[in-house]
Formats: sequence, structure tokens, C-alpha cells
Amino acid sequence: MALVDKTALIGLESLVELVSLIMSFAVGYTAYRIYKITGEKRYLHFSLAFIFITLGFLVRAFINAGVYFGRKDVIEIAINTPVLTVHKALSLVYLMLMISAYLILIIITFRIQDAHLVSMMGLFAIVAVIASYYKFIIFPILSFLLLLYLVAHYYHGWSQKHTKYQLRTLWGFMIICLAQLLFPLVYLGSRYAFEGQEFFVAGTVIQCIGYGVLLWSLITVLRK
Amino acid sequence: MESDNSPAKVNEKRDKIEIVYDILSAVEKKGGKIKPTHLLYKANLSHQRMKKYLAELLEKGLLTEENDNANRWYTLTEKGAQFIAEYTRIRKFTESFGL
Repeated sequence: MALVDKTALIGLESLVELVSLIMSFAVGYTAYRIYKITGEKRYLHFSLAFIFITLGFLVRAFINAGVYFGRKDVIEIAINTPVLTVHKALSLVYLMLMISAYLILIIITFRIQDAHLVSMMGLFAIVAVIASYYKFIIFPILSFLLLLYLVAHYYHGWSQKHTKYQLRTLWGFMIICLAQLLFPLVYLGSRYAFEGQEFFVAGTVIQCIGYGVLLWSLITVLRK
Repeated sequence: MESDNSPAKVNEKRDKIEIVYDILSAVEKKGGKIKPTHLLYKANLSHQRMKKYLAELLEKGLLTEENDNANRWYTLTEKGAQFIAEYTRIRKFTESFGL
């Protein structure tokens, strides 16, 4: 049973993703500005991860726009055709951007410098993208697990110093991480004949709140 | 962050920007004006390295040098105070995002 009128949700997720896009860009841009001041690569890589996330949201907005602006029939044909269409190409780009972003964040925050390990993670990213491309349900589950590493890292950092800034960042990543658990329900919905659209919108909204908390953390840090 | 009276850390490798911050914040903690001997202790640098850093900070307008009878003082400028504020924000960002 649908919890809300499905037509009311059309476009809402794109709007929410646009907000997430702006917030992730703000974090990435700030990190880039810090890189320009300090010249330290870790800020550049951190910025790159958030710019990837921003681009990921942008690509997804294009995918959604294709659906919302009367191209639904074309998209459905494209999904069911074993040919690389624009939609499929965009989905691939989206997966690459998001998985790369999460892995970059893990590499920076865990200070992984071993070239072998980094290249192995790169290999993992390729496998993850291919697997997610053919079975999209893998992507949110994988995102949840990768984000769980970040949450564990931020929890460890917060448990050592207990600053309010660390706590906010921890909350932000925790919310984004938990939001990923709602997305697989959309795909399970189509398989087990229950409405899944609400879970998608709920996941997108919760994810947006997570990015909002990260932005809030950023604003309090930068406030004079 | 260090306490008000402790010298800068020596057991961890400090990069240039951090040394500049340590020097300027040492001046700020002394009310914006400090004697070279105090600064040397607070910043935890060799005399030679301190001279090099001070020359650069004076040239960039982050500190000014004043001579008061037999004493020499280093004073924090507005630009120096701005640098401290900016770097404090960077440190908070670094700590907040676990970088």
C-alpha cells in the first residue's frame, strides 16, 4: 500500500538532490580553498571526493529529468535494451563518481598511503561499479558499508577528543550512511509487489539531512 | 591545541604554516607584543631558524619590530591576527572532518 500519493512525490527527490548537491559542493569548495592556502594534498583529495559527490548528484538529476520530462517510455526501452544508451552511460558515470568519492574519503581519513593498497582499492572500485551497474541493488548496500567505515573513523575521532565539531560530522555521515539502507527497499518493492517509491524519496530526504548536518558542521567551523 | 604557557610541540613534525601559526599565536597570547627571548622559547625553534622565520613574517607584514630603549619587541599586526583566525578555522575544519 502506498503511504503517500505517488504523483505528489514526482520531482521532489530531484529537488532534494539539488539541495544535497549544493551542500556537498559547499564542503568540497571549502576544502579546495583550504588547499589553495596550505598547499596540502589531503585537502585537495577531500575536495575532489565531495566534487565527485556533487557531480554524482548532478548526473542523477539528468537521469531523473529524462524520466520526468516525458521521456519515460524511451528510458524504459533503454533499460531493457542491451545497448549502451545515454541513460545507461549516465548511470555508469553516476556509479563511478559515487563509489570513487567514498573510496577517496576512506583513503584520506584512514591515511592510506601504501600504493599497493590504493591500487587494490582502485581495482575494487572498478569491480564495484560493474557489479552495481548490472545489479543496481548492490550500490546502496555497498555505499552503506563504505560509509560505515567512515562513520567508524569519525566515531573513533570523536571518542578521543569529544569536540562538538567532530560530533556534528559524525552525525552527518551516520545519517547519510543510514539513508542508504532505504534504497534497497525500492528494488525489493518491485520484486515483492509492495510500493517502494516512498522509500526512495525518504532515503533521498534523509540523505539530504545528512549533507545538511555536514554543512552545518562546516558553517560552525568557519564562523568568525 | 597547546595550553597558553606551553611551548610548541617538538615531537611531531611541524610544517611551515604550523610554525608560522605557533609564532604568531605565541605573540597573541602575550597580548600582541613579545620579546625575542620569550618568542624563542614559545615557538620552540633554533635561533637560526627563528631569525629566518621572523625576517619573513616582518617582510610579509604579519609582525612588526619595535625598539624600546634597550629592549626589542615583536608586535602582531592586523594581518597577523587575521592569519591566526584563518588558520584556527582551518585547524577546526581538519579536526572536524578527520583529515
